[in-house]
Amino acid sequence: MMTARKLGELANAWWSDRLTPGWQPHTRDENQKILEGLGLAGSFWQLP
Amino acid sequence: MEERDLHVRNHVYRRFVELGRAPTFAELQDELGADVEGALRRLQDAHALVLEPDRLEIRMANPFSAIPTPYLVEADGRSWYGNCAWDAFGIPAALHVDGHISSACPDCGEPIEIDIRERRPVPDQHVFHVVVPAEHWWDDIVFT
Repeated sequence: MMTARKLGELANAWWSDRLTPGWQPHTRDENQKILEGLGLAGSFWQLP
Repeated sequence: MEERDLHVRNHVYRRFVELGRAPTFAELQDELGADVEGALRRLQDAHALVLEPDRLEIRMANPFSAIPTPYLVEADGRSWYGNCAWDAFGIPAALHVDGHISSACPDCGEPIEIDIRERRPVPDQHVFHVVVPAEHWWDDIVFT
C-alpha cells in the first residue's frame, strides 16, 4: 500500500522520460533503483 | 531494441498523445509501411507495447490505455485513460503538465478526483494498493 503522494513520486520517476525523443527502454536495474530509491524494497518489489 | 522498432514505438506514443487515443493498425501501416506488423509484435515481446489478444490493435502503450478504464486523465487540453492508478498518475508525468484524474474507489465506488499540480497529487491522502508482486506484473499485464 502507498499514499497518493508516494504514487506521484513513483509515477514521476517511472514515466517522466516516456515521451522524450531519445527514449530508451529502462533496464531492469534502472527500474529496480527507482523502486528502491522510493523505499519500495523487499521481495514484493523485486523485478524479474 | 532495434532502431526500426524504436522508431515504431516512438511513433505510436507520439500519435497516442496527438490523437488522444491509440493509433489504429491501419493508420500505422499507412504512416510507417507494411512491415509495421513485425515491429509491433517484437515490441509486445519486449513489453514495450501491449496488443489486443485477438486482433492486431494496440491495447496499451503504458501509461496510456487504448480502451476506456476507470482512470480518466485530463491534461494539456485532451483526455486519455490510464490502465491503472499508477498509469493515470503517469500520464501527466510523461507529458510534463498538470492534469486531473477522475476515478472511483474499486471497493466502495466513492468518486475520487485528484489534481496533479507541479508533479504532485492534490489531495494526496488517498491510498493505492499494489496487489501483484513486481516479479509477476507481466504474467498478465492486463490483470495487473
